[in-house]
Amino acid sequence: MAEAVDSMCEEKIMHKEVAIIGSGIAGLSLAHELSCLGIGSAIIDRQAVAGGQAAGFACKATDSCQRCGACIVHDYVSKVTIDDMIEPLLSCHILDSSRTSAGFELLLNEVPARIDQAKCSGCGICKKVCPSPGAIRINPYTGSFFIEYSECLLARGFSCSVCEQACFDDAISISSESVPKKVEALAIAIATGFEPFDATIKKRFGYGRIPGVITSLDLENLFRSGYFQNMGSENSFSSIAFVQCVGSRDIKIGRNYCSRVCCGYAMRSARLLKFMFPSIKVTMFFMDLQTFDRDFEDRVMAASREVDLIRGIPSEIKLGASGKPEVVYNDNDDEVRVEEFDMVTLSVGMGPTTPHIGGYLGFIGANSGNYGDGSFGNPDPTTTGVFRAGSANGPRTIQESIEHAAHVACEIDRYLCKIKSGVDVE
Amino acid sequence: MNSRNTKSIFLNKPEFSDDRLDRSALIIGDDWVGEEIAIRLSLMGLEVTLVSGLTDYENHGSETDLLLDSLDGRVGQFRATIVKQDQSLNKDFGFVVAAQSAIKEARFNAYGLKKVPRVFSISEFEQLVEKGDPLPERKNEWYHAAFIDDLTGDSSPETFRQFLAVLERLKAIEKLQPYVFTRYLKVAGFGLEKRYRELRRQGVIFFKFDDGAPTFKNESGLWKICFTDPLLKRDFELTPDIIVVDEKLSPQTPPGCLNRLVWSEISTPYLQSESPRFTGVLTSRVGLFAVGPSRGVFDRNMILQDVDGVELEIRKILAKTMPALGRIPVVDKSKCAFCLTCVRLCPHGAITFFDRAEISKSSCLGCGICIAECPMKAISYVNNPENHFIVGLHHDESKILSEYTGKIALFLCSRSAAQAFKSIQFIVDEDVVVVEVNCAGSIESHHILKAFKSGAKAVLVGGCFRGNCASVYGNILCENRVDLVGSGFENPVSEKKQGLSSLGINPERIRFVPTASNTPNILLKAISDIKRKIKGL
Repeated sequence: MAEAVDSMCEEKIMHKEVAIIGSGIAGLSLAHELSCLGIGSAIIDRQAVAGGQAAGFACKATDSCQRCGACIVHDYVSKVTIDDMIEPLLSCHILDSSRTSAGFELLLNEVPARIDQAKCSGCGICKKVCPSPGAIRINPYTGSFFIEYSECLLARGFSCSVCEQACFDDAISISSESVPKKVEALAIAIATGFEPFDATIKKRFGYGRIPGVITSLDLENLFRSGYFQNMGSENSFSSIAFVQCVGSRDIKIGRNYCSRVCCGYAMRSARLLKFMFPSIKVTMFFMDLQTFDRDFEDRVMAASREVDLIRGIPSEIKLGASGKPEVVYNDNDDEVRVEEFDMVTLSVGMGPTTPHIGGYLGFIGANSGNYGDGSFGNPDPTTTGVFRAGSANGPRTIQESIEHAAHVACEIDRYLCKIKSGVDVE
Repeated sequence: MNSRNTKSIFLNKPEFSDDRLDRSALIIGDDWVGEEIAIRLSLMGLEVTLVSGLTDYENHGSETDLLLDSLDGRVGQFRATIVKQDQSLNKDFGFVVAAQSAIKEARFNAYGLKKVPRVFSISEFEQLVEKGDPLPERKNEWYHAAFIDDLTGDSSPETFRQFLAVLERLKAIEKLQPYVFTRYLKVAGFGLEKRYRELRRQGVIFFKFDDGAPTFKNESGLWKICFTDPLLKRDFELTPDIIVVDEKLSPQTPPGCLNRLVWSEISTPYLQSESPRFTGVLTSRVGLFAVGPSRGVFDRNMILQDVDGVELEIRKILAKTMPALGRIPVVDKSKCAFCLTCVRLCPHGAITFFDRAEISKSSCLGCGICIAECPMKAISYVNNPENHFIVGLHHDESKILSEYTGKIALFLCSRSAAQAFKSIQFIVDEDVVVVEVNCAGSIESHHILKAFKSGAKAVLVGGCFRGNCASVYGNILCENRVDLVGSGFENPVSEKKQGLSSLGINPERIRFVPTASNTPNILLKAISDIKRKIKGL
């Protein structure tokens, strides 16, 4: 198969010093820092729009900024977009990867952008006529539309060209073929981020079964979509619970680590909700609060005045008689209590990604960096030339991912200097 | 708002030139953090000077310590006065790195304990164990060691890491029972949870208290710990052989001259401003970097990352690969009236003053606060008022009239509101006209009035949320100006309040809306709100 692709894409070999896999905040900031050092890179992502998961997070500002960092992603997207040293290869799937004498070779399959962003006037007619919800989405940076091919009927073997016929701007050509591509690079950076814990695994919390039980990522979406802002005054949204450590610090499911970020984001969300609905009752179930240093005074002290902090993770979440979730927990006096909430947010932990990048890198992807063993930047001789940035290396906040990317950029620079000066790094 | 000592600005002759970029660095803080950075920067070929992070000799400084007495200037050419006892030396540096290590303060007092021979702070005890010194004598067959970590709840994972390392080494001692008394286990560091679980499996007993923390009683020279087991709800007393107490980590007070450089009145005691726009080691002053504790980071691994961060930022400046900003304000010297407003208000310390104000191209981030604040209108973007705006508001009056009549004028900060607007540009009704500025801090009252004069039916100013401005307080200055235009200010001569209403314009027609790049909904709502409001007027 590799040879077949090889012959097809001979014309389209791209040479870059570094291939970055993942266009999240770590990948974007890494590309930017490398570019500042004069090192060119290609950012490969299967998504059609850069930004990764961080771009989907909501701003947590109340009347002032809570330092969540989600807004910074936009800055990096615009920095990378205008940078000639950086080649974004979006909507690209990695078919195979191999090590060569010169470095690495990645075989890609590029799903073409079926909507020409330059022609799209953002009228939204395509989204209105599209029979598959979620297939046509708004680009958060430009306001124009793009097709998420995995959701498109064509990807599922149907024939459909409704959007193409409807478009007033002739911006859509739905039948475009995918293009094979090949990237040659001296070093590879894995910036594939994290996999949020699948909350349905914890059956006792009833996620997906009990209405009102959501994950912290669902809550982000509710914030972003303006769900709370548009909530009418007739809606009696008066209580919310946060359940921490869902898929973290849990040896039974093999997660012998703290996800580090959840206490911070739960407290930010709690304060934002408190700001939106001053009379709301916020309860937080936790094991140990992981906020400290600079954050402590602003967040823990403020939150402890506004939020009921209850130590101990609930034993169960049931469907109450009124159709709302009921949380069964032991209160601070160790009495079993059952309490009804309008909404329960499960603060899902971060897990390693298993990027499907095949061949040589498929093997590296199995090693989960800081998630399992807690090692820090141990260079493994078999992976010389492969680097991990951001949350692909261990749970990190947005700011920490940017800082880690700067560190990895320096490491890559030192590595490239070594191999260019002919030192045998093997 | 200002405590900057402006005197030194007069004394310094204008030796600054934008071409000068000294390849030398001053590192403040001479223990391991400073040394790591010194080694790295010397490898880069920079001439490095290390001074102590102490502010004076009274604070347990030794006589060989170099102290920083004063610091001024800008990237490429900072001027420092370094003192050693009664000698002093003036020296210029291209870059300054604040790398003071954390202050470790044992919490004896917080717990009501006193420092006696069998009571240690964690750092003391760590040294004792590392040296292999024998522990204080046993009182019984079993040796009881009590570790008090984070009963206050605000300890750092770095301290917990220290406790874990010590506990791991005590495993080798037979018949020793360690107890850990804590509020929150700070496991938010890589690998800590795993190590904690392993120790618990090996028999270390952890007590976690919410309220009713243990009390300490001194009985004939020995400390007794009285506590209620949080799980068994039973009272216990323990007279351990040793007690080890945690330490509060806090940043060292930077020398006053450093504080003045970076507006730390706003972010005390850290050198890095609260705004998340200052990522990594960046501070509001170009060429001055904050490492580790001085920016609120205590984790050893992250401090080591900061060393790379400093190398990267310095290389960026040396290679001049910083993205071209292109919007550097210049001073019209014939208009400058020596008032120093710009010098005092520049959040990046980019303006110096000799015979007239001078703006450094290398330090300026182009926010335009000086342009808006200059009472003489002596400052502008490259002498061309049109450059004030990335998008919109032409100087050509006729054009303005046709563009603004009957519309809502949106003045948007390029870092927040303008980005948010892009994602809703196709949804918003077409009766808006967009004016994009680099920072909301550059929007002046007369820009707003001009929009009204040109027929705009309302003006919406979109800036960053408080604490999110890339120029520290540009958003606050802008909000104040909008307030001033809306509600007016008292004219000292006529003693009348002069605001929009005195011009016959309802103040409801103007609003400042704080927003972020990822909150287009807030902007959208503000636009529809103001539209609805003016319909009713």
